[in-house]
Amino acid sequence: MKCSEFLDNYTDFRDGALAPREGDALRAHMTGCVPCRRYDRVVTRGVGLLRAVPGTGPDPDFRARLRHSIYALEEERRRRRLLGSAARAVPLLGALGVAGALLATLTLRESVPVVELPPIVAERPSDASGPAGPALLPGAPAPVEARAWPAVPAGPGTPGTLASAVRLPAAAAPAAARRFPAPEFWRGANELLYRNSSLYLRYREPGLVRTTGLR
Amino acid sequence: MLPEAAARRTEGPESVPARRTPAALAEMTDSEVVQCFLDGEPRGFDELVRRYDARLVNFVHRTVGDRERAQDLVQETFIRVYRHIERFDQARKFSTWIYTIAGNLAKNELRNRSRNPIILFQTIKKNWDADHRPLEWEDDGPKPDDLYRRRHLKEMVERAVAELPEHHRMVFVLREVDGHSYEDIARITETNLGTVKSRLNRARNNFARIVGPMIG
Repeated sequence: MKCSEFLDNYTDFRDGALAPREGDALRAHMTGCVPCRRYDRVVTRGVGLLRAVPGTGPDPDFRARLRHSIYALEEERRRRRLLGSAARAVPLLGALGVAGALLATLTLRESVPVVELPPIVAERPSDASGPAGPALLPGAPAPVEARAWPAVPAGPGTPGTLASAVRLPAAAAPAAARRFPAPEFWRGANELLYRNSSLYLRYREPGLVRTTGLR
Repeated sequence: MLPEAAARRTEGPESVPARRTPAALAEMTDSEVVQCFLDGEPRGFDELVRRYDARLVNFVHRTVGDRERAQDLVQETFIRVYRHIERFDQARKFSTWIYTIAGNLAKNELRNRSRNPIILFQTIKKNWDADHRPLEWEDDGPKPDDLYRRRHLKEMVERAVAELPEHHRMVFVLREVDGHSYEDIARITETNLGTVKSRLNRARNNFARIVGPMIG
């Protein structure tokens, strides 16, 4: 056996990983080879000395420092868990808030008292306005003679009252109201406005005028 | 160590932490201690620290050559163990797992140091010398006197280990000082068996070359 073979197999030999026959061959080589024998002695003694060197080990405060670090780690985990819980709770709280708001709205709506109010009569325009106003459309439904309308609180200038819409002078108001609309009322801009209003689209009766009778 | 940590791991109505005395824990295997800790025994982690702190500090110290830094790295090792112990595959050996963590931290430390150009030059030079110089462990030169040798022999042996190339040093310490098997070393260093044997063989050759003049 050559020395190079000995060195190649030395690790397995030293660690007992070599087959018995190969181990015997290495031992036989060492017996007759001074450098290889010395090599084995140096490694064995050197490792022996190394193992005999007392380990330095950790400092006395090593475990206290470790404990402190782990406490800090636990604190961090706890904080993250809390943050995580809060983050998970936000959508839930939002949903609960929306549901609560809906519930409150429904409850409030149901709690509003229903008040029976006297009906309001809608009258067909008088014949006086007929010739002057636009003619009823052919095929249009017959005008409603009397229809119930929700009452509007009365008052001077209240929106929805005829007086407030026309803004007649106070002295002339009763007489003008009786003749309302005037024959020329449905001409020009008023007619154009009316034909484009929702009232016209609904009833197609340009001559029908609501009077509340509350003036 | 930490009641909160143990309590965190024992959620559930039927899981009551089983208190163990330190003496009882000391008689358990590593796997049993790990299981105890996972079951809610807070002293389990203390026991693992007690078993491994000195060994790991010595291993990392010999690998990185800086005792203070070695202690920091071992602290980090234990913190990682604590943080990830639930992921530990108990079919494996705990010692291999914790040595793998410590070894990786030590390798990272050496890699970071190698980014320093001055150290890089020294490292390259040292590794080149170790890997390419013909094997010259026979020393015919004069030997120091016995008194000096006795006084400094152990120190010199440690220095010889420090002079080994990094990737040889770790394998050498794991085998010769900590007594790990080839298979464990392969797992710890994340290499194959052939690489372990090769590195160990070269590490022994280098070691013999360095300490030969003093011992032979």
